[in-house]
Amino acid sequence: MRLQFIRLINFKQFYKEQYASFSTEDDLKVTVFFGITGTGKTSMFTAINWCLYGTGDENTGELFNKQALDEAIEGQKCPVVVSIGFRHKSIEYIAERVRYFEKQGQEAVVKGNEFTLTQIDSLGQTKLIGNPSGKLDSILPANVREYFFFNGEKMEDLTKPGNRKIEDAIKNIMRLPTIDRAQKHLQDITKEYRSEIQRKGSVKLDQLIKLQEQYENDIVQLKQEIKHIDTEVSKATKQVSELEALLEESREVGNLQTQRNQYNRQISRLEMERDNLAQSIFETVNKVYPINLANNAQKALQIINSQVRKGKIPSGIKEDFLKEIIRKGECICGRSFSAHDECYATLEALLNQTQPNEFEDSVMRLRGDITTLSRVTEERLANLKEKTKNYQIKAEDIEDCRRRVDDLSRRIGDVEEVNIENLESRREQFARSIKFSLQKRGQNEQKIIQLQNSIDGVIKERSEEEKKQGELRKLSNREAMARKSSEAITTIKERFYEETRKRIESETKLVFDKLAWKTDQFNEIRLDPEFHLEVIDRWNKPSREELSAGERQILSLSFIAAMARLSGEEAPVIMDTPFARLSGIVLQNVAEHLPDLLPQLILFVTDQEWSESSRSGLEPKVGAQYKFEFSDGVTTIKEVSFA
Amino acid sequence: MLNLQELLLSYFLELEPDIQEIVSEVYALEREYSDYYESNKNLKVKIKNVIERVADFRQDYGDSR
Repeated sequence: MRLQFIRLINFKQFYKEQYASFSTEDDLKVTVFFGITGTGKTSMFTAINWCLYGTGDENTGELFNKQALDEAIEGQKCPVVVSIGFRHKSIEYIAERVRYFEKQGQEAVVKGNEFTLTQIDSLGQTKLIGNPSGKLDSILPANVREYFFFNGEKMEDLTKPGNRKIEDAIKNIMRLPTIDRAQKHLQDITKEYRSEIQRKGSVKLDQLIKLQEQYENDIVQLKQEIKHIDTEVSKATKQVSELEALLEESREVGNLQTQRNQYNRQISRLEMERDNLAQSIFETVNKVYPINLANNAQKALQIINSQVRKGKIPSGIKEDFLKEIIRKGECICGRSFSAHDECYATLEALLNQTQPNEFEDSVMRLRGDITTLSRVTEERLANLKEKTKNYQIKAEDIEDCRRRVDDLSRRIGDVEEVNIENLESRREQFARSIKFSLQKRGQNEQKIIQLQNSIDGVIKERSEEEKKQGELRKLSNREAMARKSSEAITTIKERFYEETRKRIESETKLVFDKLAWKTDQFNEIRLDPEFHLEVIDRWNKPSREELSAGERQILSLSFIAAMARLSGEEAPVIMDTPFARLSGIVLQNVAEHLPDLLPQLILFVTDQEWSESSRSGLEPKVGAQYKFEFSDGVTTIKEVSFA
Repeated sequence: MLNLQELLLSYFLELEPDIQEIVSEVYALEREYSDYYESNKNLKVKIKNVIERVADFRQDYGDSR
């Protein structure tokens, strides 16, 4: 289906008759309508939906143009018309929806509806289609339409986590429910034939059919088990691959964490040693407090030593000894003397020169003490110097370790401490579970083959039995055909579901890579057997919940483009406000690539959206562009020529 | 590459002729009812007619067609 034109008469703000043709060329497949907010983009979008599917007319009072209503004569019946011309599979059609209003005061009262679909053959002959809605549904079903005609601002809803719109879209667009219904109807009809055979046949035949059904039910159950096993294996395989990625990352991080732990332990040890040194330095410093006396002590020692060198200290004759000689009046040689003798005067002079014993002893002791003090102080100073040096070395070592810890922490990042053994054990568990599941799967497949052989045996017996009752042969043959058809469609359904899943998955990724930026952040797009869409990031983790609204819009667009390409439905994609959430390189990518991915693209954009970024990519593919001009309450569609 | 509807039809072509005829016609009927009608009235009867036509023809004329 490609839209060719739209004609509106008094529809909302489009006064009287207005017309626009859509570009349908393969290399010029884009038609753009632009205008400022409120000029009629959404009304035009509504007009398309209303004409083809009768939707968007919830507020019918506003469907009829206000100016036309104002000009209408009281009681006059006035039509609101939207006609759309389109081509589908080389046949042209015109869909036209009309709603008649009658002016009653200031109100427009609905007076009837018409919907026609006219087919035009190659000779220009027209033919009215008897069931226009049914025909349109066969061209583009109403439940599929919403995935092709949509509001860009709400587009991201499609891929919002937690909703089932993706699943519904796949099923509706790929017409999967049609296969489901065909399968169910064939199964039901098979049962009906069997019941009839059982009613008309012998007891033995009844028993054989019951046995056959029992085998068939067993097969169904085993197949369901296989399906369940496949889902479980798929989940477990995913877990194993996630755990392996985590393990690989963790081993690397684990090594870094081990190194960091070693450095932290080293820092603790060095800090303890440094603190002990600080305490020891403190104690040593306290012990060398006389250091400030050292200079004075040295001076005193110099004076004393000088006195010693001069022979003044110690004095030659002790004071007590001289006093004793003077008191006795007798020399050490035995000669006596008196107070007026020359000898006495000599002794007196010697006595005067002599230092008092106490002082002299003190000076000598002081000399000894100062000498000892100096030696001890020097030793302690040397010790203090050594400790200070060691303290400095420890401080530098600590600083070095801290730098290494910081560096390792930066490399480790925000990764939490992981337990590698635990991860490995979990991986082993999943691997074991996969192994057992696959064993079980193999056993089930064997059982199915055995049951199938048993069914063949029963069918043979049934055939013999049915031959005995001629009238049952026809019925039996019909039942066999119904059963085989039912089995065939069941097999086809399984294959088709799986192939659909795989193709949508890979096509969505292909388109997503073209439209998105930072594609290196997104590793793959997965669609599981239940059609749940997931985006896997470069760390192999699901990230659909973390996508921004703009990224979700890109994912939605990718999905829709993939569906449009795969479904075989040649439907136009009509987007109202398509670029509101996009900017920069993403907008450029979308503008450049989207037209190539779709059969026809019709855009309703605001003047802001119709920016340099979007124009540069789109304009080479635009075949028609229109501007909505709003004046005096009505909108006029003006074709814009290309400069 | 076949689109998915073409792929589905290609699966039908792999079936043995009688079953292919039934399955293709049943699928076409299901699509017709899904696209044009709101209820499945008479659909099963039509499917039965297809099965009976093919089955009876086979019984009466063998695999001659």
